[in-house]
Amino acid sequence: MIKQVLLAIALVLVPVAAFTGFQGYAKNDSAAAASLGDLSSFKAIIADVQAIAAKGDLTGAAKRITDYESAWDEGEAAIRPLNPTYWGNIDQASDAALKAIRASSPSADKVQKTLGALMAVLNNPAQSAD
Amino acid sequence: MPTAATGDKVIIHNRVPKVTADFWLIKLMAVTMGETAADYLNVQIGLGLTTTSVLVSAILAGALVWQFAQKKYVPAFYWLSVVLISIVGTLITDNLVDNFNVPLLDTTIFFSVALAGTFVLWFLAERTLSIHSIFTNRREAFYWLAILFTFALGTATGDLVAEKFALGYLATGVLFGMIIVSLSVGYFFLGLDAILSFWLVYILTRPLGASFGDLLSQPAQYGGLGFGTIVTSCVFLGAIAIIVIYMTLTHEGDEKVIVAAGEADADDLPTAAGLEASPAED
Repeated sequence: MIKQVLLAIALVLVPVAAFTGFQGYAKNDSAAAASLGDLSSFKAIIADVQAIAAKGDLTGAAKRITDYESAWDEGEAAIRPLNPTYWGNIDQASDAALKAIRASSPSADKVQKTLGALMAVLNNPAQSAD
Repeated sequence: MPTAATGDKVIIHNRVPKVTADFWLIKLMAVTMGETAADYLNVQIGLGLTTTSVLVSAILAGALVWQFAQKKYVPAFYWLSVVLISIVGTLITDNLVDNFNVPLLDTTIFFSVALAGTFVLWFLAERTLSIHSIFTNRREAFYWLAILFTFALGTATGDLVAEKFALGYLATGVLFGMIIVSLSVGYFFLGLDAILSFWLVYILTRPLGASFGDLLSQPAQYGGLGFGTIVTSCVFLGAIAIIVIYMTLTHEGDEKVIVAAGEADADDLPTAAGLEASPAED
């Protein structure tokens, strides 16, 4: 019976080892953003916000970014478990951009900087926000 | 006490099906459907996890009473019980994790111990864990208890692997598929014990089917194919129903067991008329 149990354990461990080995190899190659799924809808809204802010309309940008905020909050339950660290990086960058846009007298420079940083981390969630 | 032509032995029905290819097919579909149906009941009907669990458990209890009363393998009652156990097993694990905040690792360990304990008690009481000779109420009770724990354990293991290691549905499915293939190779070619193989693969079909169910039903942006829980559940329920009808008509899953007259429950022994009507298969 012991022999049977050992055989069973070996039969389970072999594919697990093969799978883990392959995953380790594959993950070194693949783009980091892939692990959070498709973030293009978020990037589209932020690109829009950036365009509005570039024209100097910071009020319009603040309005448009609430669409991003709602979408990001709604997506938390599904996105966060996929990679909590990456999700955290994006969340932090989002908070910085929201804070800059919603400041009582927003600085166009700071808004542009934080939106740029947010777009960058949406494109590569592996980088942590400063 | 009726005696068969074979002297002081009788031929009675195994209460659970023969392990054939379509057994595994329908088992996988029942598991997949259990995952999507549990998701649907939870999220879309909106009764809340606890109420849903209690409700479906009550329905399961009724189905099991029916199943035990058959005293032979009747596909409709057997597979109804399996589908309901699939849903209840999923809900129990979800309850522990979401409502009581028990970590998935703890749930996995708990149900592993519970399952192992069930097999120990079963073996001590019956001296065999064979699923080809379930012909007493006590054996059938051990069988269904083990099945319930395999579902809860399979759920916890699958969720643990998918979430902790951020694998996504397809990768999780592939991983468990590979382990099942490995164990099958062990059984067919390396002499791995049949009963051990059966129960290990049985546990693993749960995370395999659940990954498949999530892959089909979850929205595209989260890595699924976006069919939704309703469509997926209905399609699989329909497929299960068709296969159950096929099994009922062909009697392919029926297994007869030759036992000493004293071993079976007295009220399980077939009448003389029953014996003549259903000759033993070879």
